[in-house]
Amino acid sequence: MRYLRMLFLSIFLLTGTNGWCQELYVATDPASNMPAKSLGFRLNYKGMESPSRIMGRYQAEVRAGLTKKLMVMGAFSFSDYYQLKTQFEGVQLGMQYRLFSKDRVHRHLRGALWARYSHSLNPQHLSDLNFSGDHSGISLGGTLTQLIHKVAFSTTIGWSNVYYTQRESGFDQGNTITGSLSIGGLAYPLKYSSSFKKTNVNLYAEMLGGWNSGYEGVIGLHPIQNGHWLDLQPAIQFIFNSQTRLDLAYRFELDANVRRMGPNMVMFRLEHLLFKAW
Amino acid sequence: MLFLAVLSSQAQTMTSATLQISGLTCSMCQKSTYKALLSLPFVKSIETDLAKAKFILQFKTDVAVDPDLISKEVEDAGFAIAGLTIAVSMPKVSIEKDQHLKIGQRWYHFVNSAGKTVEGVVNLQFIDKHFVEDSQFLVYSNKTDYGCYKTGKMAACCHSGDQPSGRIYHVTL
Repeated sequence: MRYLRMLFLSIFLLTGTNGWCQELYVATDPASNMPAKSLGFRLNYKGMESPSRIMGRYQAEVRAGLTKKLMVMGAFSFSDYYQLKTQFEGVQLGMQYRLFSKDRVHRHLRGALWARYSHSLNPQHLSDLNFSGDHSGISLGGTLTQLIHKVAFSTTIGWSNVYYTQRESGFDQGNTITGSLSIGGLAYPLKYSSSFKKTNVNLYAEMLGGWNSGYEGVIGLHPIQNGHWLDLQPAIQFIFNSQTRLDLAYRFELDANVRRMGPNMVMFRLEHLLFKAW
Repeated sequence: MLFLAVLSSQAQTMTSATLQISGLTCSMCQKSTYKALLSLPFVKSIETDLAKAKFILQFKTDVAVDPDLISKEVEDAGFAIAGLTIAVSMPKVSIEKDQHLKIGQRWYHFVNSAGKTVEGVVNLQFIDKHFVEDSQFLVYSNKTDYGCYKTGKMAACCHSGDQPSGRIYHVTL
């Protein structure tokens, strides 16, 4: 109930701010693809605190809207999560296909299917499946994005499976179902500007979770079954010149019983878009 | 009863357009649409009303305007046209029911406009598929018996003899 209250509070705050919804979510992609013939260059940083140090992951990503329906992305990452020195840890590939788009002036519903592939050189002993460097495997899923009144909601559901490049004993991820619910809104300017140059500030709240009924592991002396995790990730986003965005986000763990790198995480992202790139 | 008329003119007849776009939710979306429209060879300049998701296009005088390319660019950017009005230079003409008219190089089919007389620069609202929302397309479909509305192509419904075939734009006043 506490989580639902937080979610509804976020919705309330976002609906109160303005008449423009935003769906450039930080943790997930909306069902709306990139425009055809556009390129996006992303630099992502994910940092967290361990008992002894601050650890960071750096990811460079290129995304392209090949057609109005098909978007592809490729990335590679470095981190010092698993050793003291920052080193190359793997590549991530993905694609998203826009299934349908029902657009009206102040309302839209869009659906997309996506696939992700990740290859990681890291020892895979974490169980909150993510394809940003910790795991090797595939993830398949779909996204629905709906603009209702003044808020854009987006929900994803996915199935993930990992294979092990370096497996540590005692953990079996098996199949994992992941899901998310994201909302976003424009916080500044309050009245929509007539200039593309005006900096926009957007606020987001995203709930991110995973569930694995086949999960078996041991944390300390406790055997764990039915692995799950649930996070809340609020974010603030600055859009400069309608072409460059800076995202700042913080992930809070609401509930989890699986082994993960850390409960909380800070995230920065810088992305520059080129429209009509070819 | 069908009225076909050819108003011959080689000059550019379309001077500007007002475009209402649906699905735009952020300034990045708008900029991508703006850049896409600006890349069209016949677009001279674009004014934007971001709050209303409207774009006002001024056309070049020496390059033929292709409304289908406008909708293609908007859709490639990930959005859809909810309304398109183009200012077209017309001689004096009284519009009959389902009048077919050639202005410049293009054929127009006037829907739901019978009895009106026009002259000079006239704002024509384009109502073909891809120029209006789907629900509006259905409404107009019920207002004309002409099969050409569904396809946007001249067909047997438009002429019985040796009239030209090809693209015909459905417009209303």
